[in-house]
Formats: sequence, structure tokens, C-alpha cells
Amino acid sequence: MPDPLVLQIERYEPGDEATRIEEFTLARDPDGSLLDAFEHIKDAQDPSFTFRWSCRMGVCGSCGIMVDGIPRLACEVFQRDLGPTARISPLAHFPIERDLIVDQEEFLEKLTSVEPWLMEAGPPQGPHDTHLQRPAQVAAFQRYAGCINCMLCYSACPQFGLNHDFLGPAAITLAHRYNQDSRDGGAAERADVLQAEDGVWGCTLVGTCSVVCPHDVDPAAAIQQEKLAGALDYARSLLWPRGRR
Amino acid sequence: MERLREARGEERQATLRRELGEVMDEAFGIYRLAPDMKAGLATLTTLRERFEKLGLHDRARRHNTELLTALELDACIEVAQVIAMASLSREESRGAHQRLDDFQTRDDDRFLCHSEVRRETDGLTLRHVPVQITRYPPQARVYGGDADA
Repeated sequence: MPDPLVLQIERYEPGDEATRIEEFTLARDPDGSLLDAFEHIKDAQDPSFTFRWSCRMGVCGSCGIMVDGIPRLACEVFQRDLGPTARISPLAHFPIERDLIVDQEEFLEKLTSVEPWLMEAGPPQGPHDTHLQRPAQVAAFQRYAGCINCMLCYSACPQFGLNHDFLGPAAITLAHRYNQDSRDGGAAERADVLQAEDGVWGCTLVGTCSVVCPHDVDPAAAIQQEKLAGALDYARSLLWPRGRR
Repeated sequence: MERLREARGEERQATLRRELGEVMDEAFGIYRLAPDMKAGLATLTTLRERFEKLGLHDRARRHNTELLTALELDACIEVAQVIAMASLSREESRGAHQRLDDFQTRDDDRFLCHSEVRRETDGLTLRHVPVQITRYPPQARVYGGDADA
């Protein structure tokens, strides 16, 4: 084999005491992604090798894994960019269900906890019961609406690794997306969860969440903006004890 | 699903899946020819027979994506057969079904119809159902210079 690719994959079956490393060798495809390599291994070498995937083009967020210790989407890692060998393991900080599949339950609960739906600030002002927004108003939240729920930011966050009660980057960013939306009036409702000690204040500005985000959502920025909003809200409550935001 | 889970035949779902993709790409793309489509339909019949001799190797009862893929393949083969039958029976060109053989133009007299395929006890049966035109009568789609003429 002229240019082999050796993948050292962390495997696990439900009921096993611990994970084990299994090595697979394949002919490197210069145009292929890591996801293509996984598919080849499953089809031609070991049909029990299991992983999540869907769109294979970096928009669905299903195929998150660790490549040499870095959280990546398998469909966005190219075989030509890997060295002679690569260590593949399931997304860090999550319980493993089977092989590269992790338990997402905790993550989904955090998303729901910030009440991620539009709480209309006022009645629709536009034709046919629509809300009107200027481009600048859309720009205020649009970036934070780009999250594909891939969970890479949670694997990158050392605070989440130490404390699973931390709300985490994606959930806070999702709350921020609604708080920044001019059609929404739910910021006060979301404040209890966001401004808790395990809410935004669990973040210590490490910033690796934004580094690994495959869609440039910049969750770190969203978190710090919510910290500022919370701090200002607190200051206001001292100066004007009866009125709120 | 239980029957599929216990499948112990010689055929592998990965091989059948790949061959299905190849035949549909070759015989049922946008540009079509009768002899290719006939051969394609015959290949699909063979794939269906080979699927009955499928063998699965992953014995897990949880997160068994080999089984999931086989279930999807089962449905894909059937849908492919429907596409093949409908394409062969449509002796005209219309939209994304463009024939480079004897039927290169749109024929509203014979084929302004839906192709309906049903699975009955003895196999798949096709019939043509007339279209109800309500708002947009069929017309040639022309672009650019042709549209200005």
C-alpha cells in the first residue's frame, strides 16, 4: 500500500468495563474525508464499527468526534491532511453509548432550559401578521443563530469537563440569540438560568469553544455579552430598586 | 425487522448499496435511453433477489447502523424499481426525464399523466392517471434568447 492511513480508534460495546483501542489501516484517499474512511472501514473491514453521520457536508452537526485530541466534524477532516496515523475517539466529556456515539441527553436538556423560543415583545406590526426587522436588527442575532448543535464546544470547554452543571457555550449562545432578537421580549424570563453561578458565570474565558466551532458562531462572545447584560442589570437593580430592565 | 436482523446470507449490504447507486446513475440520470433503462430494470430485479440473500454481521441490539442501513436499502431498491418502471413507460421527454432516443419531445396527448405504481401481491403494477390541470397549462420552458423571440 503506497500511502496508508492508520486510524487508532477507541471502541466500546455497552457492558464493557472500559474502551479499547483498535487499529485500522486503509489506502489513503486524497479526496476523501475522515467520514469516508469510517464508511470504508464499516463496509469493508468491520461492520460493527459505529458512528453518527448524516449530511456529510458540515451542516448537520452529527459526526462530531475527537481527532488527535481536538474536537472535529469527521466530514470536515480530510485524509490528505492527516499524518501517517491518527487517534480517533468519541467526543470528550460525554458518556459513551457505543464506539463513537455519545449520550446527548444532558446537552439537549441544557438547550431546553434556556427556553429557546420566541416570546413576542409586542404584536406584529407588518402585513399579514408579520414582524418587521431592519437588516441591522437581523444582524444583531444572526451569527448566534448559526449553531448546528454539534457539541464540539462542550468537548473543547475545560470548565464543562470539570463541572457538568455548567450551562455551556451552545446553550448560552442559543439564549443570547433570542435575547438579541428585536422580536423577542423574554430576556427577563431567561435571566434566572443564564445568570446563575453555573450559567454564564461558570465561564472563565478560555475561548476554545469559539476556536473549534465549525460555523464561526463565536459562543465565547455571546457568553461575555450575556455577562455584561447581567452585570448591567444588577447595577440597575441597585440604583433603581423597584424598576427592572 | 427481526427477520432482517437474523439474516445470514452471502450478500453484503455495502456491495448492494454501491451497485444500486451505480445502476441508477448509469441508466436513470437526466438523459435516458430505452436499452439502458431496460437493462437497468433487469439489474434492479437482480438486486432485489440478491437482497433476499443478505447477511448482516453486526449482532448488536443497540445502535446497529448496519441493520439500519439494510432497512433503508430495502426501501431504496423498491423506490428505484418504481422510478425505473415509470421512466420506461413514459415514452416522451418532460422535465428531468429527457430521452435521447425516439421520444425526445413532450407529448401531452399520450403522457399528460401521473405514473402511479402500487405494490400488489404479485409484484409492482403501474398505471397512468390523467393530470388535472387547474392553474398552469403545460408549456415549453424557454430561457434567454429563445424567450425573447
